[in-house]
Formats: sequence, C-alpha cells, structure tokens
Amino acid sequence: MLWGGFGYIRESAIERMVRDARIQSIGGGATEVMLEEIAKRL
Amino acid sequence: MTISTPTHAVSSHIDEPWFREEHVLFREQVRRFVEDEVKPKAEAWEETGFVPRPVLKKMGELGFLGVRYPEEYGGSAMDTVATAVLAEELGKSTFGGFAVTVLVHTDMASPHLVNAGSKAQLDKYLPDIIAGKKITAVAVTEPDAGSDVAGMRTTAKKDGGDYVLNGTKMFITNGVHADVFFVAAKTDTTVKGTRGISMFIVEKGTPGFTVSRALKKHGWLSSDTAELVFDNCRVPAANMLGEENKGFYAVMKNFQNERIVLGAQAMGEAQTALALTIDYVRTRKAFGATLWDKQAIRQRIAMLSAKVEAARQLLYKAAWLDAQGREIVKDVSMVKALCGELVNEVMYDCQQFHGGFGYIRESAIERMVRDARIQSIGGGATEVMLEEIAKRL
Repeated sequence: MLWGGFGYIRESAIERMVRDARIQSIGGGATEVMLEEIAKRL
Repeated sequence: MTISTPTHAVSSHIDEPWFREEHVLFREQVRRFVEDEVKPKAEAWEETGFVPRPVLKKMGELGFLGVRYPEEYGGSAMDTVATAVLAEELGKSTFGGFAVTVLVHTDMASPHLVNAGSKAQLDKYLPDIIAGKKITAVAVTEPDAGSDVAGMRTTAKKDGGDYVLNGTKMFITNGVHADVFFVAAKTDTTVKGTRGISMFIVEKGTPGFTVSRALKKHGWLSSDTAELVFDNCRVPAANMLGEENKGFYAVMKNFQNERIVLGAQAMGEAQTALALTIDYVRTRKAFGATLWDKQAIRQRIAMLSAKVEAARQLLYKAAWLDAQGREIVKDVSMVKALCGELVNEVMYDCQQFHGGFGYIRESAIERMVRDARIQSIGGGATEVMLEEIAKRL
C-alpha cells in the first residue's frame, strides 16, 4: 500500500516479495492447520 | 463470587530464557497471594473503590513492594524481569484496579524517589514505602497536559526556605488514599515545553493540598483516582526531588519502567481471559455440540493465544534488555503499543464467546473488558507509542 503503484510493477522488490510471501500462510502447514494444532494443546 | 480462576494451571515458565530460579519462586509466591488474598475478596474492593490498606501492608511484609530496591531499605534487589513477573501475576488476578493500585505505588510513583532522592529523603520515606506503611502516587498529568506535558500549568514559586505550589492535577491514580505524592510543577515559567519543571515530595495533610474529588471511572473500579488541588501549598525546599528545573528528565527516566509494567499487566489479563474463555466454551453447548467444537471459535482463540504469547515474549525481552542496562525505548514503545491494543482485541473476542454472560456484572470477563480499555490510553497512548517507534525505525 505504502509503495503505491510502484509496488505493483514487476521491477520493484516489494512486488516480488508480496508474491513470495503469499505461500507462507499456505505451505509447510497452513495457518488453519496450525491453529488446530494450537487449539488441541490449549 | 464470580469465577476468576481458570480450571487448568498456567505453566510457571521455568523453561524460558529470561528466568532464573528466583523469578520462578517469586512468581509462585505472588500467584499464591493473588489466589488466597485477592480473588476471594476483591469484588468488595470494586464496590468501595479502593484496595484496603491491610492488603498492601501484607504485600509489603511479603516483599512485593520493593522488588528492585536496595536491601538496606528492606527491598529485594532483584531485576526488571522480576518486576515484569510481579505485574503479569497481578494482571492475572482479573482485577485490573487492584493490580494498578500496587503497580503505581511500586513502579510508577516510588521510582521517582529512588531515582532522584537524596540520602536523607530515602532514609525518611523508602523503608515505609517498601513496607506498605506509606502508599505513593505521582502527580504529573493535568486537565490540559496528559501525554504531552508541555502544557503544564502548576507552578512552584520559591519563597524563603519554601516553595509555594499552585495548580490542579488530574487522573491521579492512588490519589485519594496515598500518603506521599511526587508532584511536578513549573519552577521556571520563562521557559517552555519540558524545561523548567521540578519534582516535589508532598505529604498528605500539607495545608493547601486537597483531594478535590474522587473520579468515577469506566473500569479499574478498585483503584482510587483523584483530582488534586494545590492552593498556596507550602513545602520546604528540602522536599525538592532531584535537580531544580530538571524534573521532566527524571519523569522521563521512569517512562520505560512504567510501560513494561503496564504491558506485563495487560498480558497477564489477556492470558487469564483466554483461559477463562476456553473453560467456558468447552462446557457451553449450542446446536448439538460445545462451542469449542466449532472451528470458527477455537481457531480465533488459538490465534489470539499465539499473539499473546508473542507479545509476552517481546515484553520479557525488553525487561531482560533493561536488566542488562541496555537502551530500550524502541522495544518498550513496541511493547506498550502492542500489548495495550492486543488486550482489547482479546477481551472483545472473549466477551463475544461468553455470549450474554459476558455482558452481565457477575462475570469476570465483563469487568476485564472494562479494565482493558484504559490499557491503550494510559501510561503512553498507542498513538504516542507508535510515533516513538517510528522515530527509531
């Protein structure tokens, strides 16, 4: 958001980082799966 | 009595890097006191609007009121991590008003004396402060000067061997029942902003010093909060605390300590609220199963638990850094901003999951929701904290 239109074009690092980050809440144990693991232990 | 103790024990965190054995033992001691002497009794204090003095004296006898103070005055000479442990356990009592009554005395008012006091001043006041025989308050805030002290109007004019104080102080926690007040006043009105401010020790009963009214609050009901008036209040020059005109720098010195304590109190409250809510949703049935069986509910609680644990680690990291003598303004500002907001997020959801119960006065969670609201305002509002962080990024 703070980067405005610049963050949406392929030459900006932030554009790549946004794409790269998206998998982090999915791969290697999705958030929803992790929350179930926490809940079991509460 | 409302249920304020979760059924499953909260771990004593012996396995975290910040703690030594003395911290774990101290935590157990405070926890036992809270279970035996606070939880069964504090609802009456919410009604009367203050914590009875015998409770504070007992805490003094147990060594809870001088955690970091020198042993020669009766203190325990522990570190900032121990201070955070005290605040976290008091927060877990579910009575924010009780917790803050103690913490204002131990960590927001009396440090002014310890940081700036002369030997004579320490000898005169500190033993009774640590013993809980004398309770302290700090009077900086005014009707027109809160987080921004530049608007301070209270003055102290030198007159012979005395200073004469005139002005009004607002939102003073412990203001009704304290014995010793640390009062900020302008001693040089020719300079603006934070300059020209000095701190004075003013004892209850000094002519010209009155509690003009006890303030009725939204939460923290077992804490007494007052408006104070100084009308030609004469105090001896020997009561000046620290250097003349340098008072604000002494006030600032304790900001970081105050904020660690408030963050720890908030996270203590948040942990207990989550534990109480887990107990409730595990038994409460709706649509043929317990509320805990609904993913939407248990996942929200799981995520909040993760956030609270993360914030809690940040706060202990800041306390630990402080104990090492490191510069911690950025870390502490993060702690205060994060914990003050997070405790409100937690309380909102916990109240939601208690259903109608969470809205009636019999439930601990109803009180905890009200108590939490001040945490993002007092002792450095979130917006002020965020500016402090931003300056250091």
